[in-house]
Amino acid sequence: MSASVELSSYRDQHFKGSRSEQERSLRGSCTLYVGNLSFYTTEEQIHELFSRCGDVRVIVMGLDKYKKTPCGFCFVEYYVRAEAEAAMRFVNGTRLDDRLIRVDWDAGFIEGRQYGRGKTGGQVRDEYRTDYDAGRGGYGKLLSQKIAPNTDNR
Amino acid sequence: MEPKTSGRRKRQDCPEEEGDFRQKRTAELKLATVEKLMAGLSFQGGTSLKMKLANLVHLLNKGGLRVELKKHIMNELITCVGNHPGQSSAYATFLGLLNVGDFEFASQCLSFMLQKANESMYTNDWDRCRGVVHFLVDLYNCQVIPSSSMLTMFAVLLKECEALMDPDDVVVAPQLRRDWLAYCVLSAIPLIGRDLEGETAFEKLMVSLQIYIKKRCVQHTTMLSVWWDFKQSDYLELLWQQVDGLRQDRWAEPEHELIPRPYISFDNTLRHGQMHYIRDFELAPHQQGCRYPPPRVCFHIFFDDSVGEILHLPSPVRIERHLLEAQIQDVLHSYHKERKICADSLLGYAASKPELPVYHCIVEVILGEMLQLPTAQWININYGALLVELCKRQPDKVPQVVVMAMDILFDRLSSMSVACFDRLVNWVSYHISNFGFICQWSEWAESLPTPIDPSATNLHPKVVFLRELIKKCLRLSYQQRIAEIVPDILAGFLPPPAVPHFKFFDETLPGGILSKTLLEAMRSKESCPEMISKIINATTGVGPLLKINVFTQNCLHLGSKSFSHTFAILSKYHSVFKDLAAQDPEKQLAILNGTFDVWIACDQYKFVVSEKLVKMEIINYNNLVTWIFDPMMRKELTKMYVWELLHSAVRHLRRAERAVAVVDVDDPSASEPLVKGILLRIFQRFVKILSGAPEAEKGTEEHYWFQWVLGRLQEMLFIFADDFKIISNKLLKITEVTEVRPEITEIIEAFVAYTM
Repeated sequence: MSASVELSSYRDQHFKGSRSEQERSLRGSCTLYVGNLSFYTTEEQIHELFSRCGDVRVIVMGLDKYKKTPCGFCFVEYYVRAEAEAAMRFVNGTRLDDRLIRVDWDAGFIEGRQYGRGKTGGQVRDEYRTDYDAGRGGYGKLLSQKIAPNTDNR
Repeated sequence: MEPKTSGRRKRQDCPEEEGDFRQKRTAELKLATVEKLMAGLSFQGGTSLKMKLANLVHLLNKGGLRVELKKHIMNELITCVGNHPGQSSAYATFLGLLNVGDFEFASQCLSFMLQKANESMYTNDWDRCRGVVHFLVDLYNCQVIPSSSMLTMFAVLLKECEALMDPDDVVVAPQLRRDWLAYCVLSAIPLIGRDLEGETAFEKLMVSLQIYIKKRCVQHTTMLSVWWDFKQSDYLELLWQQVDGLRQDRWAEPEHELIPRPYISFDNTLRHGQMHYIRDFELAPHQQGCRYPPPRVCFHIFFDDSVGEILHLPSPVRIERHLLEAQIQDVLHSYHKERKICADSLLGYAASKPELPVYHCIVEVILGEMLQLPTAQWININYGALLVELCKRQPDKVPQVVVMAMDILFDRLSSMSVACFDRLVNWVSYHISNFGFICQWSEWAESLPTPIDPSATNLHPKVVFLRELIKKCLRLSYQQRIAEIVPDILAGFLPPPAVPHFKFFDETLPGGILSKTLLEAMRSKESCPEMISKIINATTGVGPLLKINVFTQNCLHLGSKSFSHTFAILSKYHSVFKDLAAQDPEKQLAILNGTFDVWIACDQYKFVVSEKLVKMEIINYNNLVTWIFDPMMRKELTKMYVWELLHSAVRHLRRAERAVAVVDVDDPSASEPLVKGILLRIFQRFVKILSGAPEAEKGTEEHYWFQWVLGRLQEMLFIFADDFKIISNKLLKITEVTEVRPEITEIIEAFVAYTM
């Protein structure tokens, strides 16, 4: 009956500690990872949506490691677990900026994690994508380099 | 995956334990299967209930499984019956079928259930108790208990309701308790009325119920009605009407199997079971501090003419309507936290009744719960997410019903309680944000009083609704997107872009030079709080309040890129703020003034930044209240963000206070003095500002203003009802001492009467 607040199968590979420590901190966490955001979605929009589940303590926007621009994810931390659970239940899979966003437990924000981990600075998933996604910078990074090398000087 | 691997390893390590392990594992599997099948009896949809029952009973009668799992079966039974009071007939049939083969087993189950019913009364778990009562009633239908046992149980339940009729009897039980007792019996009567009609004890019971319904007080219906021009029926009164109607129809069975009677298909089997007599059904006595279900009113927005010509929606006074709603409510209460399961179950139910407009009922029940007064049971987005899920799963059925409901609610905004207003705006904005912000914009615009006046002074409820709705949509989206969606006729409702305003770009303004110096210093790499304090303190010719205003504006201007930037700069200069404005109300208000100067065009920033200032203890709660009720803010009080801010601040204070308070178990009112203090202060300010408002003619701006703020007072009482309840004497005293308008007194008195 509590399927939507259960842990997903994803585990952060950079977590410092054992698998069981990681799961323990995930189960007690008030922090959420939010994914599949448009690069254009702002912190204010995220605040508005997630505030509907409770009092948001902090939002950390995910940034491109090099360009320091939003790269489609963020962390949302609540004051209490129950409110984070509400976000898992009611916001996960609903729309923000016309995209179905993904909400998952996170063990807690640590400095450095706000940056994309892909080679090109963004999220890894945006390196290998083969589809065109206007909200996330067009084609995947590798593909777009092949199609049109170095035209993007932003 | 993991337990499997570790299990395999264990077996390899100790081969002699393999047998044990396998046995244990098989037992666990069996138990899990039985539990799953039992829980499945209350799930709407999938295999037919008849099949589910037959399979389960067959499984349990095989190889001693029933005896082996007896304890678990009993526990699962009370869980299911308690969680799904509306599905008791399935579980009664289940026990009836087991009774046929094993009288002793059923007897033990029965005692267990009675014991649990009694326990749940002591823990005030009234829904669970009602579930057991209905279960017992259905056991009569399953030929497990005789009618005499059931009538005795009813008599026990109704005893306290009857006490009211005897003038010499001192009634000790509060009405809420008696209401629940009456409801428990009344809601079970459609299940057995036809069988019992004519029996003396039944006649007596119906008379008792009728008298009770007539005599009880239903004053709360006015306060609990969503619309002030339409008094909603009290739920118990309406249920009496519905049941009485059924009786007058000589208990004609409601069509479309609205009363689930799964036992009918097992009639031939069930008649071979032996009867059990219940002798020891007892009520737990009323005690100080017992909590009972609050009074409710019925919510109906759809009538037969709203559903088209093909389907027929039972009128609200028909028992069929109650049965439909009760089933939907049951599913909601069981699964509301799991929107996908909940939607599946609701749609499964709808699919089982294709001749009825079940989708209309589902949407109506969900919205009724969402708008329920004084407060909704769950957070607003819970209802919203569920409706979105239903729309997605049944895109050719549900969305048009939701649109119709939105239309009806919009149409009746002029008489809707202000306490429902924010919930409606929040829901509609969330809902349409999931569907490309498409809604009846043009139709709604056309229904506005003409000529359409979008100016801020127009406080007509529909106008305020559209204005706030558009602002909320903007908060979830962005200017260009909403500007494209909103039709031209509503263009005047679009606020200007939410950009910061920094007036000290003009250096000639008073304080302009200080601002320039500060900006340069704050931008430099070496900037630190001490350095900034020094500059501010060293400046002459600028008054202390202006200094604060300049500093605040500088901070917010520099941090205007996002909330995070703003918060970062506020934290950095926290000590400077504290030094500048410690405890001095006037100086703290100067900070808020500066904030509003910069974010004049953006309600969300006004709200979030002010909230942050309070959380950081730069602004204290009392000063926030003073600020909100300051004459300068008078016009802002008709906007949503002010109340978001105030409610959030009180909630935050309460959370902080609870975290540190040592709660006095004997006297809960002794804890949280700060929350009560702030609520009292808010109340006084409300009374003062409302009493100072001039009497104005209907339809004027002044009249609307009064209605809005009066409604916000009521909303405050509703949201913090538990806290206000404790200080209700003080509230009454304030209204007695001060000269207040009768509208205010009316609201306070109704609230106090309700909470007593």
